[in-house]
Amino acid sequence: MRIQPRQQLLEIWAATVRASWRDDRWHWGGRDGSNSISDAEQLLCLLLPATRVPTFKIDNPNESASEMIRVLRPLGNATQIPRVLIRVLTEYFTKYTDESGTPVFSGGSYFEVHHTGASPTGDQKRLDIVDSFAMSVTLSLATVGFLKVFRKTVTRSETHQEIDRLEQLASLRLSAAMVGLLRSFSVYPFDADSPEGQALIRTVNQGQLPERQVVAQLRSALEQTMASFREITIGSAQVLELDPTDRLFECGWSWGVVKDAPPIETGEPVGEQPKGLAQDAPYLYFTVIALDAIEDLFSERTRILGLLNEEQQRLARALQLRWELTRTYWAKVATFGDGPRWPLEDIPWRTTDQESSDYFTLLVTSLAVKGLVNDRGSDAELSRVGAVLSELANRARITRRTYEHDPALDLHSPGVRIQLVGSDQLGGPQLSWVVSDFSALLLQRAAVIARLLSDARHRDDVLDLADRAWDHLLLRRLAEGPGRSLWDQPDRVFDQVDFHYTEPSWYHTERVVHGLVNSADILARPPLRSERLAAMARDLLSEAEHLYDMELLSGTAEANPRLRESMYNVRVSLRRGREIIQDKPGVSMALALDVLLTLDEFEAARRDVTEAG
Amino acid sequence: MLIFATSDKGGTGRSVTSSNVLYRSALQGSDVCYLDFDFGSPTAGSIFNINHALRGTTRGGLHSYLDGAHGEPQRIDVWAESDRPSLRDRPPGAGRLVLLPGDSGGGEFPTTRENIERCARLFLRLEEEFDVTLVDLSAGRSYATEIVLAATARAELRSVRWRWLVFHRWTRQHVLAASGLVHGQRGIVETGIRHGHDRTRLTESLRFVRTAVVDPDSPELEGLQPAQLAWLRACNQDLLELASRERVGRTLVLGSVPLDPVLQWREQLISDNDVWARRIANRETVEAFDSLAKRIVDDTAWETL
Repeated sequence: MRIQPRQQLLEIWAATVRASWRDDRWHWGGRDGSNSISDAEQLLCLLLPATRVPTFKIDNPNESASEMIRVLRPLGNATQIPRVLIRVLTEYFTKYTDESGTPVFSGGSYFEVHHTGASPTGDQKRLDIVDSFAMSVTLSLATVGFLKVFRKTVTRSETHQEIDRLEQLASLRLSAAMVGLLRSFSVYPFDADSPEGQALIRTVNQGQLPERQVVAQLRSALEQTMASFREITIGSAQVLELDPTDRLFECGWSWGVVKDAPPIETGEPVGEQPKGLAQDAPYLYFTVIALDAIEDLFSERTRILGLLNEEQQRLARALQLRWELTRTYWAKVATFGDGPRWPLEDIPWRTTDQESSDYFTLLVTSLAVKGLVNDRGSDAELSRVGAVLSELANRARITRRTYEHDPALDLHSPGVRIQLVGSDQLGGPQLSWVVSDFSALLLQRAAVIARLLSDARHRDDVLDLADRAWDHLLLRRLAEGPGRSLWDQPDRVFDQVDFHYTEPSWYHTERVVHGLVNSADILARPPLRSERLAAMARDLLSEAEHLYDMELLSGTAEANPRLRESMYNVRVSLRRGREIIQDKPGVSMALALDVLLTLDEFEAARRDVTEAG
Repeated sequence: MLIFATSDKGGTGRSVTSSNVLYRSALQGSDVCYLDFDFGSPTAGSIFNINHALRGTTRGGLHSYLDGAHGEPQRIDVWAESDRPSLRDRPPGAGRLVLLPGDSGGGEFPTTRENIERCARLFLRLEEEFDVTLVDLSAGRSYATEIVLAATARAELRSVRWRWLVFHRWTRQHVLAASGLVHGQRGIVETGIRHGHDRTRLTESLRFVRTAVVDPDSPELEGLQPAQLAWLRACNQDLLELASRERVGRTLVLGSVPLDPVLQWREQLISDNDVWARRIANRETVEAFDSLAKRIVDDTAWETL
């Protein structure tokens, strides 16, 4: 692996602090201005590593590593850093709570309008968006977890009050974000002969089967998923008509609270639950974002630290059900059929609203991998997904050079435009959401797949892809200004892109950080164990042990101290070799070889005596 | 301000570190005095190179003062009486540097009310005269510790500010012992509370100083084998966690002093001359003393979490 998560993350921390902390205060916003998502992303650049990578933890100032403190030095010393973070986090959570105490999840300056010279109205800018729900779940969990640990080292009541206040704010925002996610979930039913139905059939029908057969097979593959929809009793997407035999559907998250979504009854003081506007149909992009965030809700860390209160656990269970349904649905669809290739491998992916893009394929790979993990997907299946990623990297010119007027570059700059259908109901133009995180997302997914693979060769392939994506990302960092060493400057790798940015994009940087954190996860596990190496090591060890026993029998161990020391070292090596043979057969083999050489030196020397005699 | 210097075990470098810190403090312009309360072995004179008080004084030191033998303990002006040329003559801008030695052949004595009263009176007098009064106590639990805890709990000293420094080396045993000395049975906190101190105020006015610290990442260790270095790093991490558990963690550390040959072999004051002209001492050591001298009186450095 050429990616070195620790060193790179340290560099990003230093750069984030340099860009954000000036004159003793935190400066919000970057290239795309300050809004509830960007500001959360900016904070997560620090908090994600701090809460996900054990060596980066800064929540216990007594134990945090000196390297981390050195990098965060501008914020203060080891004891001041957590307090400064608390101050900045409190600022974030208060900034995005309105006067009535309702958390705000608006997309603000991230909203764009396509072509027409119009700009979003004030009301539109205040629209809630799933991206913000998702970021808030991750940020709130990171915050609450950070406070849980930090609280133990605190003695002053003043600091305790600061912690209590922030914990309350974060927990409230978490509940509100969960409510938002529950109200943005969508199941979109359509008939097989509708345009949507036809598009879906075209995508999944890689075996060129008759249409009726495809519908029947698809329905039977999704039977369990459809049955489980009845369990949805709160939030959006209740009571659905999926029974007719030619009915198909899609499920996932829309861009915001869906039209006519009922409010959630909850004991948490989440404030007013706004009326939904969003089209009641899933969007691939928001589905992936939501699934990633929901995973945080039932991660090991969340459970061990007990980050959710009882009501939040209830909401989390409701979300988990949707998460299960969504990922099984997409895994089934992406890998459907016995045809020569999966629908996923038919690049680019076409959505049911007739759009196609490599970016959608990348999003579907994320969903497919989540499904495969659950079904204990084999290495063969996972490496097929890896191959798709590898082709996507080629097509997106991450691992290939560009040619003139290369349309592939639109993926990176300006990015893929997603129309937010329904956003014009408050007046004003229809909004769109532009996503250009292709490279960073590719790195994230490659790292996830590499961690899951247990075959060394397949894993090397995917790791190599991750490394190449990383090389590409490294080149795209800003070269100067306060945001130097942060992302994103696509014109540094693509000549024909002529946007030049001076400020960092927290949207991109957070995704890169996420990718690096995923890569660090790979290194949290012992190396892959090769059966071949283990067998060889066992054989070598038993030969070495036998030779050693022969030496002992001949009395070498009672000889002069030098020789005895040598024999003692042999014994120690053999014992260590046996101990580690399960985890590190390669090392075990090297120890055995060393022993064999030493013992052979004695043997060869003695032979000289017999020959001369 | 009164600073009490104590340590868990002997050989931590408590006296030599606190003398050096006080010396830097004087160089920074404060009027300071040093009280040798290590009655069992009053050797502060040797650190300051005071020839007639190498092992305590015979002309009425702190011990006999507390015992009531005379009304005023002897004072030695270090700038005037030191035998070391580089300590002679107060540098321009420096404050007073005064040593109150112990008596030679002193020895411990029990805590009586009179002792405590005399001790409190002395502290009050010195507080008026000096910016920093550093009281060097002996290692471990001692009568001297008890006397000063009792004295500072008295009503007349209520307005006087005091702080405690506990010196310990950066090893498992010393970390455990330092924690025990503060929080353990008959430790500083328990004894203090018995004499009427408030637990919170006492613990908040108490910090640790790590001495003879070897930084596992320092370039000076390049002579070691890679395996030794890997081991050292793991040990250091292990110690960090132990210290955190034992309430001796970083948040309660006021400073740490690196291992320095001059401190190790000669136990002397390190002058700027030693660092810059003769190059026998390390610059980092003096920087550590300088920073400690500032931090002992800097309120922000004493803020707790």
